[in-house]
Amino acid sequence: MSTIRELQEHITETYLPDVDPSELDRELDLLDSGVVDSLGVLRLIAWIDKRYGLALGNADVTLDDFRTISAISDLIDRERRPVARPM
Amino acid sequence: MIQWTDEQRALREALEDIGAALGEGHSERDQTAVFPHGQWKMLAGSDLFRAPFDQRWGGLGMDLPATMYLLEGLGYSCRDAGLNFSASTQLVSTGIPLHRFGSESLKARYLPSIVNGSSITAHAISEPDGGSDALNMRCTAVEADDSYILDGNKVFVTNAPVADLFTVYARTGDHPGPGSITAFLIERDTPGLVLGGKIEKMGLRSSPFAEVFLDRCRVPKENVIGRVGSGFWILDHVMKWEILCSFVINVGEMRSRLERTVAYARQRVQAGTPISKHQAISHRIVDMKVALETARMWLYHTAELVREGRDTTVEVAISKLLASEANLASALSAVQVFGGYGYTAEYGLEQELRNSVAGVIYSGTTEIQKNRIAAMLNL
Repeated sequence: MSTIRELQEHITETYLPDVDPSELDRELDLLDSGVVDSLGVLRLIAWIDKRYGLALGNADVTLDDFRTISAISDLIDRERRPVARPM
Repeated sequence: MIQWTDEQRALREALEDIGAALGEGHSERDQTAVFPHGQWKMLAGSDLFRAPFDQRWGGLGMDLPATMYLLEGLGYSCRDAGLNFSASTQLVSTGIPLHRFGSESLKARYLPSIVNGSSITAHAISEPDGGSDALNMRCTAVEADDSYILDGNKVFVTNAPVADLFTVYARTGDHPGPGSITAFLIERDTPGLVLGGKIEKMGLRSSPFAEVFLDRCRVPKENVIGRVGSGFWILDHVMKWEILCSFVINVGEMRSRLERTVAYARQRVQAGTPISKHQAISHRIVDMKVALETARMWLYHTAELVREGRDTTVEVAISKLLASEANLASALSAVQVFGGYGYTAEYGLEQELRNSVAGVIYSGTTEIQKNRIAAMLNL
């Protein structure tokens, strides 16, 4: 399952139980639309930590990384990428 | 279990060595509610305020658990809980967000004086109608040329009457929610920043707080901490530090209180027997010990997770809940064990009980912490 699809399923299940995952626009502004509030952002961070094993606390992350499903997916891809180490 | 280095142990011992002098006169200051400027200078002369900051700013580069280790020593050795609370606020209110999120020029301008303690700092978050619902703030910041114009009221601002620098959180976005808050660093003498009068309070009385009024207060854009709209992110980081730093001080205070209570129970004789031999007393003291160790373990465990960048929303809430309630219960138990003497001002225990009440209110009440844990359980 793609990250986008996983995110659509998680967000509808957690925040929009009446919405079909496939109908959730990946570009919808989750913060300004009120779908995800401040506690919701913290719940998303907890879910990403648990689901993907990503520790975001020390990462270069901003709130814009949680604004849309596309942005969250990009964040996950960025943080999963192995860090290049000098030989 | 964290193993402290010889250097960290030496720093803590040095801090504990001046703890008695820092706490001297705490009972009088509790009565008069006077901020101890002399003791503050003494504290600034120690390494405490330097602990978590990079060496390039005059700091020691210590991580969160090591900084807490020093603060625990302060709580253990200094009986002036108000001073201890102001010291914790000094570390976390402005220095920590500036260090992590501020621009290089903003750091260069303000961090050195925060690190050496010559600037006292405060953060203005709560509002008269907001309370624990901090993000629904009404204080606004409107863009105007090269500045932002701030309007609104802030309450319960610790250190405000003596502060030189304020971190103020204000709404920059039209939409309610986490993306509309921005953090600003404001100098005390900025026109439009006005302090309210002295506010009497129940405990922590040598740590003053006040209301802050922002009346068309013009703040240069370069004084935005982090990015516009990132205030929630900054506040979340700050609250983790605030909770872990201020409550590990309480752990030090609880240990000091436990030692005094054990000593008193062993020497106080009733009906020919030390009261420590009465199970009703010994079990109460054991409860103090268990609560102290539980709070301590949770605080350091959570700090290690924060250091690793893990999600800690639940752990921080549990730590805050446990430590604040443990401190309150410990203070009440000590008063009870000391009996009539505990009720007098002379022994300082009634003062500790009043001080401990603050902990179940500030940084999110006990009820708010439970709400947060419930939300994380999807309840």
